[in-house]
Amino acid sequence: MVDSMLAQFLNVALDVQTPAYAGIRVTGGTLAASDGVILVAFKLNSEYIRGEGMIPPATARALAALANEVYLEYVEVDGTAVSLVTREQYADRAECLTVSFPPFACRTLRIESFLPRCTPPDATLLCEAPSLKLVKAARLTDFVELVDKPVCGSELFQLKLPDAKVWYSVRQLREGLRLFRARDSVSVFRNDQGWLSFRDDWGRLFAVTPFVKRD
Amino acid sequence: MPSSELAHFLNVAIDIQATPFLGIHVADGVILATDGVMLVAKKFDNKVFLRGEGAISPKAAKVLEALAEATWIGSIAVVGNRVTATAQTTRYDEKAGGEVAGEYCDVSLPEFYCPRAPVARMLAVLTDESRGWETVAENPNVKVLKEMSARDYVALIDNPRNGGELFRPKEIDDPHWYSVAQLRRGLRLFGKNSRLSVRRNSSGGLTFSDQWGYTFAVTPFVKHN
Repeated sequence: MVDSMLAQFLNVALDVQTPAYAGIRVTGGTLAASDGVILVAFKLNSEYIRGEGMIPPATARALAALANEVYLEYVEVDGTAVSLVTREQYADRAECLTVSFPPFACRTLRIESFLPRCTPPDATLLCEAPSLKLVKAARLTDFVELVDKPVCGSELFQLKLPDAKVWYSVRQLREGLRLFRARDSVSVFRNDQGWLSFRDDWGRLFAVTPFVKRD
Repeated sequence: MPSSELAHFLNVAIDIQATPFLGIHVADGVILATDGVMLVAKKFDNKVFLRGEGAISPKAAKVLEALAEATWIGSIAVVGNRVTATAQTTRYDEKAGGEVAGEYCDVSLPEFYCPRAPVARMLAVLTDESRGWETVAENPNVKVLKEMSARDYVALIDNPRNGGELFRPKEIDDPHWYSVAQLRRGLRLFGKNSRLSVRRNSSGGLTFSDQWGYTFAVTPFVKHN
């Protein structure tokens, strides 16, 4: 079976990361990418995603293409060099095949240091499985804020009001929420700085920092 | 520095290739993709860059495209369905204060089955004198293709001039005509600086080729009485 979830995560991560924050951070089986404002992460088994370092954008593109097509035994990261072990595509050949991607220049970004701020105890659970219809319906240039008391299954956002203290960009929300599929059950957390994070049962996380009103 | 031209060719080739000629075929320094109606090819004069003979499966081609988009590809070796590319590494140099190119490393892609196509025979058709190939125009204008809908059809104008418009909307009594969608897909191969040479054979087949060794060929729709 191909790992379409990994491929999808890599594609979203590639869109999210910017030249200043180029690459996908790998540590302890977690993949994470950020542009400084939004963050996407995917917690996988540390036997499946091994090693520590950065997956440069070049390698990430190739890895995304491969993850969609072959059965991956594991991926190993050492600095910026990435190798993946896959099964041979022919049934009569039992051996595994290692595909090694050369190291490319990529600054090490310790994106994982942001992850505790997006999860309990730093962040508190706001709502389970909310409706995010407004994010789909609103324009990309719009801004939204959280409804007063979000409840499970009902709308999480409302359009930003003039006196809102903390609000979020629809564009940024849409970019990160692509990580989840339509039927994924998502939990929403918020920390005291207004960071909003969405997590699902598969270990994927999307966090976004808010726009804040300064008086 | 990425191999943008190779990445672009692979992108167009992946789009065009289809059954029964699935994949991107390599032989004699030529890389070629076809769906039986359209064909795109690139001839590499450098025999070191593209070596071997075989077929790059669409899956391997996508990985190769991703690599070429990101870094310089030094060479591609194809043996059957096995593809090995040499990709240039990069590293951060503190003295230079930026990214510098490093050594080349081999990247061996997994082998995916893909049937092989007779590349030499396909290319021979494009130059076979018995098929009556003649040059129609040099550096023609193809503006009409941009203006028309992808679902439209066009025919060659009667006496195309060098630098003049090559196509006109199809008329009901045209013996040969071409799909705008197909022409658009294939002509993406050429850059703005390409000097195109257009040839036509007696059965209406059209080929576009440029000074860099790129070729796009398309077969016509034919009126049967």
